[in-house]
Amino acid sequence: MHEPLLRVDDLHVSFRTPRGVVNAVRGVSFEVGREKVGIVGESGSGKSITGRAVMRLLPPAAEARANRLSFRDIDLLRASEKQMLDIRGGQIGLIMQDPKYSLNPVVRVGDQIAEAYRLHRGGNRKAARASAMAMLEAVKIRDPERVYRLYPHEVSGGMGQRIMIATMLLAEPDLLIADEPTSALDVTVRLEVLSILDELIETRGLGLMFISHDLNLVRAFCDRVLIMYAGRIVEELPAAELEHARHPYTQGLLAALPRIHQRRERLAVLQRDPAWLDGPTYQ
Amino acid sequence: MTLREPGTGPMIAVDGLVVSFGDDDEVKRAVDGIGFQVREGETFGLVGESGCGKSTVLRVLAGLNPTYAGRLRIAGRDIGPKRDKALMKSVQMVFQDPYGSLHPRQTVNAQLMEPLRIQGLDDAAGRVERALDAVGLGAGFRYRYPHQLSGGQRQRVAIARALILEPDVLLLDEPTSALDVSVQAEVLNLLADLKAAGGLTYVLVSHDLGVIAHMCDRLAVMTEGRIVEELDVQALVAGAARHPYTVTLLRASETYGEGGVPAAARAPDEAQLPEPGKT
Repeated sequence: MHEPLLRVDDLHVSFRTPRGVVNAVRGVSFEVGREKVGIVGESGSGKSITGRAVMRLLPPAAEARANRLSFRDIDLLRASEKQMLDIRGGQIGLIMQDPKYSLNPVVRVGDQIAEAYRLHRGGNRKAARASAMAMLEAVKIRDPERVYRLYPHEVSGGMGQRIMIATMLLAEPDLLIADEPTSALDVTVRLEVLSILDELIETRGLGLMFISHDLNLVRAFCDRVLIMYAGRIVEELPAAELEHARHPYTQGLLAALPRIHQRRERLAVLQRDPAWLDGPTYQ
Repeated sequence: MTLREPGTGPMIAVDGLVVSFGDDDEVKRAVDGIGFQVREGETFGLVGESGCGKSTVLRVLAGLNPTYAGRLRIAGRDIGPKRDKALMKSVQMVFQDPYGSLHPRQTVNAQLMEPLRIQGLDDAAGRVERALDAVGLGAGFRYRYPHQLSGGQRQRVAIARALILEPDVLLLDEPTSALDVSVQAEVLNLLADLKAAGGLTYVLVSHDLGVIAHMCDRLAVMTEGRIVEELDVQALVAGAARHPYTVTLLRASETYGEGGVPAAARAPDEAQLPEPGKT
């Protein structure tokens, strides 16, 4: 791993609710360099909140604190909102689950990509349009001239997600945060989108923070995996060694997966141990 | 409980089923002439990607989609668009989203009592308790509201509501796709246990080949409203699938699945894949 792009040390995120304070993230530390890091967990484990905290996109009721939360030399907790506008989309891209909600429904998709270019890179309309067109080709859209003019409701889920990837990569960020980028897609389309994402990340040398509930996906796609449980990282290991995970939670998740080639009478059911809440992080 | 003599033909027989949506200018055939049979006690899987028509087939079987063409036989009886109470009792359905399929402002008890009242069954209280026991919740959940339950618990209530009428056929539309992996395992085990207890035939719709391979005896692969291949799960697992679409689907599920093969290394070329449906 080269010089880390993102450094997170002891991140806590808590929410004020009418019933008291909820601690969604409780002391998470990790670094992301120019590599693919997967963050896996079940609903409510705090994985998405961790991603949002990096982008400073938490809801007003949330409070984030950390010993260190920095992107390059920028302290993300103390950066001004103006600085953040430059970072978000410019230096750190974010791809979310459903392109239907991420894209503006009343603007042609090509114009949305071009807008991202003009916002972060400046330049005239013509240059922005040309770059958007080139980016559509880079995400392997066969007929960019036609697709450029379409509205979001006219494109399929897989196409929509490729358009999101195009929009995010056009500003040439160094770090990409992808929050369940393929969960809304069919399995064959999912592969297409992932291979495009993979190729672009490799050729441009980006860092990727890949947030997902899907262990299999992360195992196949990422270099390193962080397993989150109840707001903490309980295990950290290379993706290739996931099969040899030592934490009982990770082992339990793997055993609970139905598999095509290893049919079992019954699936193992995860027995949650209260000791995991504050237990050690396996490395 | 059963409508028919045992051992007299398949539990479900579908022949030439066509379902069209849209008006005259723009008719879309969501289901385009399919046929299949499900034996009594079998778990039959319908697999395919979004928009292939698999859920529509299930809705027709459930009686939720009364406009269709083709022949439908369930439990040895020809089914017309209008169904009687006995048939409705015999075919029950569990939906994908447990957050959407339960009434948010009715207790579990009220939601389990409703089908009993409609069917005019006796010993309602006893049946509710037995149904809740059967799905592993217990009587303690009787007077809770859906918002007091987790996703997995809600899906158990939905299963209890389907089972309380002692149906012959349980239609399962992506019953675990909204659930976490660990909760999915619990619900799939529960469905397997209920079936082992006897008397049920399942039709399971899923996009997840792992779930299908785990649960089913046979499956049909659908694309664009048609069944392109029907085979035993053993044959699927052994790699005996013949239709290119089934092979693509299987390879895609395996690639990002169990092998741990880097996605990029084996991702099929875009040109080989069928044009994705608009979603």
